Amino acid sequence: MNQAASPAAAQDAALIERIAARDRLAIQALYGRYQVRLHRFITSLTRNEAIAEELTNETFMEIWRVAGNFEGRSAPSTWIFSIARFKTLSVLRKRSDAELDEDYAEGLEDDGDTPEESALKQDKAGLIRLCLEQLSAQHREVIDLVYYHEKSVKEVSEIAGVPENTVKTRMFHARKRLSELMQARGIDRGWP
Amino acid sequence: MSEREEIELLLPWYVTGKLEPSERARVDAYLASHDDLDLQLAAIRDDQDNVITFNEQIAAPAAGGLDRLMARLDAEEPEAPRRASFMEALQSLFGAWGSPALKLAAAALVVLVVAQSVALTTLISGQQPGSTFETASGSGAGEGVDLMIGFKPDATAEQIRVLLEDAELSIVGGPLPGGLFEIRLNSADGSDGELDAVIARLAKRGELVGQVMRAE
Repeated sequence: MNQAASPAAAQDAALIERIAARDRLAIQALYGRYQVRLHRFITSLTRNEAIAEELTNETFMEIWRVAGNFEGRSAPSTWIFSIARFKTLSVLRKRSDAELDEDYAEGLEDDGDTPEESALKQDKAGLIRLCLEQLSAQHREVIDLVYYHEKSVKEVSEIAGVPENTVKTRMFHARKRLSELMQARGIDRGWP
Repeated sequence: MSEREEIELLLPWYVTGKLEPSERARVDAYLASHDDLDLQLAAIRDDQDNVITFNEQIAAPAAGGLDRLMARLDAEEPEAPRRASFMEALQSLFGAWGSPALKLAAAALVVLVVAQSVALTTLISGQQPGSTFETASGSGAGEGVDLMIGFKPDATAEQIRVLLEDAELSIVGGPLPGGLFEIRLNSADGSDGELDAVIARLAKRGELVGQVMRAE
């Protein structure tokens, strides 16, 4: 898939070029195009919407600063997501557990039920959501990038900074783990 | 890895329509004679629907985000007042003085003071002008992290070593999740301009560097 050739990618690239020339309207336009997507992506990584909002703006500040470095080697959206991911990991690494659930950041699982979890268990959609939240941070990230943001293998590789084969196997293990978690909660889909 | 395993790895992107045409044709051909993979395909479609629903349930960002961003840009945008050069500072200083003879005398006085300062510094330090200053720790660089770098998966250790040496960089931490490394500039004065220049130079090495940006 040649993402760079799509009209949306061409528009993004043009906006980034204008941002490099310090065009404020261009950063506003890019913000409009990516704010929600980045907010959701970062929220899924941090599980903290307030921090996601802060990091979304940090991402755009970084785009403003480094737009001149964008050379079109990757699709604009891939470049933007990689910046967001970079910012998020940097914060996840530094923030204390007062602001972030460290167990979550490290992908550990917790079998204890919070009141919210108890409520979610009342229906199938809630159970599936719980299973998604129980995935490790790495698995959650790759599932989110592939299923929601519809990134190709190459794009996920560029965003996450890992080889394409690692992306494929990580995704396989992520969906296998998800099915196992669902099975443990009584949702059997016949695989694995 | 068996053909089946290879096909199974590709199924998520088959469902999302993000495979190259040749890969898609390969999966199509395999699926045509292996309907036992239908359960996996159904599970993938189910997962994608759930992930989309889950994402769309995330509350929209609070209003005012763009305003806050633009306010920050406003705070950063004004160009820092350009630092006057030594000669400009002299001109500014002497421009306020009266006669040409007085200006000349003042300039001569400044030159004398500067020359004496250099001589005294050399005498006290026992070094020749031009030798480098070194702290007790052996380095003028700070202990902090200046940059974060992610290298391309196929970059070799030797290529990375040469890159870091050329740019006078040291790895001081990592790898972090995602393969990120913490980097310190050995020769940096810590100025924004110098960091930006290094970032720009590294960003041009796209064959080796995947991501590079300031450390928080």
